[in-house]
Amino acid sequence: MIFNLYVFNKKGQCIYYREWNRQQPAENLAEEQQLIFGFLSAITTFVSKTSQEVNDKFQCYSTSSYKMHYFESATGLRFLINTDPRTPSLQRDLRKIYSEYYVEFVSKNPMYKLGDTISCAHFIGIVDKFITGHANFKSE
Amino acid sequence: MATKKPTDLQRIGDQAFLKVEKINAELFTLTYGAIVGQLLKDFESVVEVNNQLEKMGYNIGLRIIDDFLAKSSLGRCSDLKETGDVIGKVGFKMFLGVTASVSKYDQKKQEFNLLIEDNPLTDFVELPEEYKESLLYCNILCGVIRGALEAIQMKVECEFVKDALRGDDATEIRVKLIEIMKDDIPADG
Repeated sequence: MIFNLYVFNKKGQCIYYREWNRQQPAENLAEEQQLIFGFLSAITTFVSKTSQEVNDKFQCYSTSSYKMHYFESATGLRFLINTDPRTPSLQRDLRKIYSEYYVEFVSKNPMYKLGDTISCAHFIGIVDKFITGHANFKSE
Repeated sequence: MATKKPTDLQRIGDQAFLKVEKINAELFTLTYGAIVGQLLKDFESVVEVNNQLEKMGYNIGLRIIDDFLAKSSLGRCSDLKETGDVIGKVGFKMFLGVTASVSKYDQKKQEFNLLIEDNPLTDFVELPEEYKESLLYCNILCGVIRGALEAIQMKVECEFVKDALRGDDATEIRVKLIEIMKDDIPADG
């Protein structure tokens, strides 16, 4: 089951948030997003320092109740999806959201200023369609 | 990570070229010429036109890098020479349909030259006498390279060292790496 999606820009601002199946709504969404970004900065630095491979990247973590999937572009855009722990890796799906939806509908949109909150209807619609139509959207 | 050979990059460039949407080359050349012509009418000094072209290129570069990374699926380059090869063989191929080659790579000075033999922006273009010394017709390319590299944390300076429109045998851009930018951790709001 897919819970929600966050997109952060390289400055740490959450430029897109969408939830589909969240059990407990956040008390303070802005604070939660800041917390998440702080965590991501710390863990990506940690992984790059401890890994044997030069370009190893942090991909996901899981707990008994949820799994967090993460993808970061070379331009500093961070994509994050929370799902139930049984969902397999969504790396390719995150990459698809970046390369086929963000690039085509946000980056190439002349009305969109880089770094702003995403309000492009096309992007929101197509990501919605992609997630809700995904094999892992509903748990069995 | 092994450095990619230029022949590998050529193949990646050709594959990426197949994925992008294409437009008529003459339309592209004419549209660009119209933009430069309009800028010359709008601004009083040619220096200002050169700056505007660079600025326009910079804004394009900031966005084009995401498109490039998405379609080429390339990762980090191991050194500056590889960066130059990737720009010339993959980047230029994807967006201009022609390749550029790295000439005069200087590891100590951290700079390289991009040699562009066939430039679609300047097909059939001749500069009038009054602009031959001062106008950098393709300055948008310098801006695009600067913007694209800045989005991936590389601060560079780009300038033309040879320009076919001004009488040289080819067009050559020198790209000099100023610094690799470190991530700024945003302060707690």
